[in-house]
Amino acid sequence: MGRIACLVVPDFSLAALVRANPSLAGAPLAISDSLAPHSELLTVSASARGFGVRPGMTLAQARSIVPNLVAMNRSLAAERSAIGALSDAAESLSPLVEPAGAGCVYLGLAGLGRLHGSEEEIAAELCRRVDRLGMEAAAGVAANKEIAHLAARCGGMRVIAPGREREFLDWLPLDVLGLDDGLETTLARWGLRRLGDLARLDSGALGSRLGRRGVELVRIARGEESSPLIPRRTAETFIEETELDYEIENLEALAFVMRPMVERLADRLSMRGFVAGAVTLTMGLAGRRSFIRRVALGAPSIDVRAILTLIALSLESSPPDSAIESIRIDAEPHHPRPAQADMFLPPSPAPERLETTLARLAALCGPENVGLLRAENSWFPEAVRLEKFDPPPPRPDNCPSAPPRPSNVARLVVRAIRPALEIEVLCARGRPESVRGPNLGGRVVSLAGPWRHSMPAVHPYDLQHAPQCAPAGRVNGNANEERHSMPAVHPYDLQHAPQCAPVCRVGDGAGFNRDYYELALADGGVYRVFRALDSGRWFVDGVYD
Amino acid sequence: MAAVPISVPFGSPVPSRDGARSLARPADRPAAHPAERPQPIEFTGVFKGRELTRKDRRLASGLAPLDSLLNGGIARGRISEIVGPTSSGKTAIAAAFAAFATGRGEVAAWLDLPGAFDPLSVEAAGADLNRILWASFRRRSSRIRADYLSSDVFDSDAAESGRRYNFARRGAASLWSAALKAAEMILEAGGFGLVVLDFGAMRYPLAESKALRLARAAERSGAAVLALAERRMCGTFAALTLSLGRLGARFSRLAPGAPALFDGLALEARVTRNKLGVPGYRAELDALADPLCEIPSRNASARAPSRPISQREIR
Repeated sequence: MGRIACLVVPDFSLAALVRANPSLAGAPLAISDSLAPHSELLTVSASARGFGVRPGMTLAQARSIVPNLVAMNRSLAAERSAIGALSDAAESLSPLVEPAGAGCVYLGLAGLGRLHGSEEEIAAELCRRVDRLGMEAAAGVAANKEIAHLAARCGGMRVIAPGREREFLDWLPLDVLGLDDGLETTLARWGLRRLGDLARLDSGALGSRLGRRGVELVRIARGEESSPLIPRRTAETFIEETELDYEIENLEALAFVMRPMVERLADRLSMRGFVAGAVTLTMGLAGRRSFIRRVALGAPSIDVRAILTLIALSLESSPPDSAIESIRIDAEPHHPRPAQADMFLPPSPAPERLETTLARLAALCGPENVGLLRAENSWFPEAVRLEKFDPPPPRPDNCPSAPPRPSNVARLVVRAIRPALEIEVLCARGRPESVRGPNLGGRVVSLAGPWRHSMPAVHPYDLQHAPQCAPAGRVNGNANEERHSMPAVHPYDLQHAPQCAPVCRVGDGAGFNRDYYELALADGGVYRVFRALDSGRWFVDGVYD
Repeated sequence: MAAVPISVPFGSPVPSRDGARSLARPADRPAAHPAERPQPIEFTGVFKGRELTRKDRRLASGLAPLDSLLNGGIARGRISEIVGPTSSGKTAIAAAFAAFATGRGEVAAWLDLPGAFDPLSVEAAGADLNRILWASFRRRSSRIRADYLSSDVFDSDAAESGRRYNFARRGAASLWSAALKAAEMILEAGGFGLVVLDFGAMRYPLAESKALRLARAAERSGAAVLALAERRMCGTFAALTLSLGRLGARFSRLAPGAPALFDGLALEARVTRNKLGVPGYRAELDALADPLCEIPSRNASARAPSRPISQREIR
């Protein structure tokens, strides 16, 4: 086994709190089990320690020394997030990672020299990555876990060269071992001040006095390896959670709280070479209820702004119904799609920006008004359906090198009128003579038609049991009025009626008969008009433009 | 006065009329359509600013008379307006631009204020619907419907129902705001080659500040913005205004006594404003209509009658 590095975050509980609340960095901070004046301080930050505050003091005593001391309860949620971040920093550098409790992780450095240089550079890079994730860590590199841990506990970055372990260990004071007060007092009474003093003792004799703990102390003092590095690959989960001091009741405040969480997640994901495919919000609500919402990113991304926008739009559409007490954000890791723009193909919208734009458009216009509008496969000429807009990427075979052959003739397009407007038509000898309607009217100058579109009625029984047996249409061979009857409509088309239902509604199984005309009016417009034969009413449903 | 028969069948260039200057004269124009000339290698998306307005980087429509009139097409990064009354071919021309853009693999957006987008006919015009983002701003519950035909209803009773008139103005303003906001979102997203803003029958032009914002967004994005309306909407911020007019509707019969068929419209396009060229030129072109029914004998040759048929003869 090669060299081993150890990352230690001192005062891990405090560091986790500061990571979740960067505004507390540098402030005199203490953790106590409660916020009552008589509660004991468990951990004290370096700045508070500099003023003379010590663990074990009561909060009132500490505040008498440092009036602006910030006292907080321990946050397990913040610690869990910090443990995950520390593992991410370690796994971003080495595949051999063994988590060892809160705030400590071991890495195997075998084979990393070619990638990251010397051990000093590796230790410095480790500390930089942990710092990027919002914590300060100390790193130690040595031949085994115990020595590397001791080197890290000394603070800063310390590399113990091979063969110089005893030289390093001999001068270390005993308090670096983190012994309890009673054992430390006992060893001090025996005149033992440094690890070198312990290493010179007989392990059996010390074991007879102190038990197994004494044997272990001698082994540590001599730098002997007790357990090898056992790499444990952690699950690729990226979770940030926080417990709120005060309930949040509006989305603006929620966005303010979520922003640094999403930023931390983005840093962790990018450090591991992932992007977020979706985020799942789990919020603890007042009354011990929870609210879970999954927001899928159409295009995996670590763009913080895009993710926050999608979350905000999702929550705006259906917000939680109670105040929020805690927030947890899970990011699903995806491998980033390799995409390289082609200089010779037309540009297309970037997937993540397109997804954000579509979400914003849906919030502006309504989700039923944005997308890819396509004609429905139906006998109703006005039938349309809306699909998700997902343009295919331009490929060389999609984009002809030569532009299409130019034409001298354009194709007339119909401007649909949804729903169709009812109009008055005066007929003579069965042919429209003049038209009057909302903002429409005039004498009929020319007309084409009628063209019959019909669909016989289908009994609801046939719809369910024998949909293929619907009767077929008929063709009338009258030369004066050429009619073209459509064949029977598949019941599927009956169920998928157009979004903008025609004025002559077709119920389940009901048929329809329309005679279509193209009328050129004196006002200059050419309109598509139909007459519902069942009711005799006239409608205009399109204008040629 | 009898209608003057148009004796030129579909598909052939039509000479100019009334002595107006026209670019649609085959003898005066280069033989090769701008799109047919050897195209330089395009580094799309790299050039910005004035480079976008170069003739060989414009967005063509695929219609020879129109592209000759526009010196290659509409400029990217600029607002171009197509104005004209009902059935003047505005939407057909816009669909032609969309067809050309999507045919090249570009993505287009169609902002549909009146809710008049018909995917069937736009697809028949050659546009690839998979590359067209559609957005509508219809409010079903609102009394103000930006339908194609409804905007004048309120103006006609303005004296009696002034409150309704004001409400119409406020409703229209909110629709514009939403549409312009949507246009800015799409332009900021980038990657769109064409953005069509269909204003329908809106009677009020855009405020200068809004038109300026739209113009700046278009310039930043490099997309061609096409505004369709019955009147000019963008004022001085439009680089091109193309006014369309209808010369006539064409109806024909396959045989005496057979039902009349609607063949299409004869259109006139006139450049009334051109910041990047010379205004005043005009061209004529034809727009073909899709039949409402299937007639086996209805083919291209039959659609272009050998003998001109006046509109009076149809009846």
